[in-house]
Amino acid sequence: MWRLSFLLFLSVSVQAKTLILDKIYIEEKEEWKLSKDLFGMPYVYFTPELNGQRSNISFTDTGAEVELDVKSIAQTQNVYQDNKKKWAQKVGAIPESFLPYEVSTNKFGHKIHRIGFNFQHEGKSYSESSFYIECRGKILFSKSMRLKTNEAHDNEFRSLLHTLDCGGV
Amino acid sequence: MKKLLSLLIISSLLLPSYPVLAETAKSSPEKIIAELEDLGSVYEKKCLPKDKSEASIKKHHEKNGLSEECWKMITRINHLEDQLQKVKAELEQKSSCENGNCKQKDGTLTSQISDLSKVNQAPMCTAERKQEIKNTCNDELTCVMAGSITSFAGYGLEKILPSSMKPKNCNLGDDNCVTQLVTGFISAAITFFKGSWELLKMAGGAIGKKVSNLWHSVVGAEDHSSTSQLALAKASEDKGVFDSLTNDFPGTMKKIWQTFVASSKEWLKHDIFCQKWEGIPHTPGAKCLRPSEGFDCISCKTMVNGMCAFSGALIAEVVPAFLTGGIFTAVKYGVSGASKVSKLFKVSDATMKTIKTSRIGKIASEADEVLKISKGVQAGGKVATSGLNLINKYLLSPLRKGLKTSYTALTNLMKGGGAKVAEMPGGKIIVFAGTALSNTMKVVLYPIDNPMTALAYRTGGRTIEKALTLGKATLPTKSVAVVSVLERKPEIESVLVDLRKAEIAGDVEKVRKLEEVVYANVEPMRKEAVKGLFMKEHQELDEVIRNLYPELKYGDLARRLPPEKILAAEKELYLEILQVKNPAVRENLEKQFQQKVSAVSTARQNVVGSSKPPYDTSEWHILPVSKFQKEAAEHLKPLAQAGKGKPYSPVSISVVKDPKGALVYAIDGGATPKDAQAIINALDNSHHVKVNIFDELAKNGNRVDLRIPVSGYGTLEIAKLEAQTVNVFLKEPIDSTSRWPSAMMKVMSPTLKAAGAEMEEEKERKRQEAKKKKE
Repeated sequence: MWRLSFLLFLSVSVQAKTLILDKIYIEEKEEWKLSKDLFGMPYVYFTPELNGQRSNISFTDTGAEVELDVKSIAQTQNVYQDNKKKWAQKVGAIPESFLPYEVSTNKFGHKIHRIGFNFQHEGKSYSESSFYIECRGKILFSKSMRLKTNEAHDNEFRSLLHTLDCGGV
Repeated sequence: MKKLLSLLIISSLLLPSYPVLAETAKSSPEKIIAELEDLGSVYEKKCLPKDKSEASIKKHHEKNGLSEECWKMITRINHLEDQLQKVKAELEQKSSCENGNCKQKDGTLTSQISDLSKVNQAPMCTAERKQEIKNTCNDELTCVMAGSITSFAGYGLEKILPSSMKPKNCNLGDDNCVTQLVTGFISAAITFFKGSWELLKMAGGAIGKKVSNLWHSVVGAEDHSSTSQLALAKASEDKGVFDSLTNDFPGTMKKIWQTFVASSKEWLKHDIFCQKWEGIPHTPGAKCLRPSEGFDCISCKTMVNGMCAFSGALIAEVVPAFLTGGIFTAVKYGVSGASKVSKLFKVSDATMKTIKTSRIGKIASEADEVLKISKGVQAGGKVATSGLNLINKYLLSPLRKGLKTSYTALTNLMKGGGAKVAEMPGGKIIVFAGTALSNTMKVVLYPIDNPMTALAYRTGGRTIEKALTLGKATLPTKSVAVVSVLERKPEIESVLVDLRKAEIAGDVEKVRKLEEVVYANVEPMRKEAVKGLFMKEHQELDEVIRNLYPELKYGDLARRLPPEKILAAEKELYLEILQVKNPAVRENLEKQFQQKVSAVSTARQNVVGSSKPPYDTSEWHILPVSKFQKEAAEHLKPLAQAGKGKPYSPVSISVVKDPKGALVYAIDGGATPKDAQAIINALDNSHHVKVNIFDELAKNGNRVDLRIPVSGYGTLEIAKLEAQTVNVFLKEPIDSTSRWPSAMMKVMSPTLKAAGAEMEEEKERKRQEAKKKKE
């Protein structure tokens, strides 16, 4: 009994805490800050400050229940790039480079479509990545935004997405 | 002050001035004082003595009179002072109005203010008004926002701005424009994101069909999330800004909205409706030199209303840049950061055109007009408050004190009578009883016939001539030379005046004609006149020449006369000079004569050629005294004893000059040989020294008789002269043998001729004897 109790304790203590964002489950990170309803985005998770800024990642249930066609998405990623260039112009940013479209599967078998964009704004380089997650028939949207120098946060974001799950069947 | 004003008024009546009534009627006190100070400084420098005491200024004016230039200035100053007093009275009246003691009266400033008041039915764009707008703006915007949100059904709006935050007395009415802008902003900033997924939802189409055009479907969501998350990343640079956003997003959003509107206003002021640019308008690096300040006078609600027509374009083109670049400033500094944030605003050319032709453009234009009026009213107020101080400062200034003293002195001098206008080559001056006018000055005087009335003041022109009615010209204080002429020829005065005027005017032809008239009248009686003048020890030779011997100016008149007449005139005048008893006077005159009648004068050479002037002693030769005194004694003693000559003394000196033996000096007196030797030595120096020595001899009781026929005039004249004197005549021919010139001998007076002949014979006899001895 004692041995069983010890094993249970061990299991709970080593298991990361989970944040429930409505029907989205993500790993809770120490010293991160979760905010809700900022600029219409339901959840934004902020890293601790590094190099003067906090990186952030948003999580949104798009409400869309669709599947994404990898091939055509990959083939039309130039559309994404053109749109990003237009946005950059609108906000006074300078495009630097693009992260190519890629698809992966996370810990729970959810397909994650990723694409990214590097740009400069007011003298600082940023890197953003968009994640379209096919999770139990729904499309979840996540976007990370960080200073290019805060590459360390990228691993944290990958970790979050790798362990992301959603409610439903 | 009253006394001073009275004085000024009286002075202005007495002293004609240059009127600029229309001009100064509209002048500000600043302008009048600026001109008074400028003019006063020049007047002080040119028309007043260094010592600005009352006595000194009065003495200065009395002595020097008042030049036309100074006249123009002082009358202009008088006029400006008069205008200043009028403005001062108006300002004092205005000042009384402000204190509730207003006596309405037609006047320039009053009417201006009245006019402004009529226009000023709209709220004035004063600093207070601007501040009031600024203070109420936030509440108005919050009201606008709250009203829009409550009427906008959508995602989480109640969270954005709780109704509890809605300001009191917030009544928006049914203005769709306001709602349009606010909801547009809220949508762009907040609510849009939720709706942006609709395309994606629809993109799937039929069940089981995969989405292939993902990037087209998510462009709105992509843009919004990029904008928002970049803004959040930047906001995290400041803990306060970050905490404000994350802990109280609705409250912070209110602040962001207010800053957005304030930034929009700044942008419209400094960019879209900028009235003057440095550089190419609306381009990077261009600078707005004159923003449309009228926006400061438009309430925020009115402005938001006015932005209705382009709210869509504004939201689409401006908000993203505002959110990414301006959130940090908006949250940290609020509306005070609006100016900085507004620089982020950029729109397409089409949008700019839309904005310019929108209602806000008209509102801005009207607001600018209101602002202009406000400034006008403010300026009026400033005139009333600061204008009086400015005027009083001037009235108490040292500069004004000097001007006032000068003015008073001139007025008193005018009152004293005797003021005349003197015309000279340099212009006209007003002279007073004590004004010194040199007799040698080319000047005529005009009596002032019209009195210095107010009419003269008002209708007076710039010049003395236009302001005053001048009487018949006269010569200034007449010199003794002129008097001596006029005593003999009174009718010549008008000719002399006309001549003087012609000289002043530089009318050469007229001068020539009048000189001939004067010459013809004066020539016959001038020797007598000049003799009388010299007897009275008159020493102004220039004046004598101008009035009595005009041909000795060697001008046109001289050139029209034969040279002999000129030389005769020189001789005549010189002889008269040499007969002046007072040695100092004579020496002075002689010196002047030598300057006037100069051998090196081109003008004289043009008239008489190389003829030597009468004072030229350069070729004089002196005979040994001992020899001639003996000879003279021998030959002239009997003449004297016979009563044909004057008492004879053993010492006689003769100096003969001139190759033709024409110039002879004879001295008959009681000089000792020693004295005679001194005289001879002195003769080597100059003529006047010699004369002085003669005078010294005379003082010692010796009688010195001097006769100086002028060289170059022929022996006939010398003979005439010597025939009159019949004293001692010793001469020395110029040639080396010291023989008497035969030509001279021919015309000698019989007595002298005989004496000379005897001497000649004696000389010849002695030469023969010496020759025989030698042989």
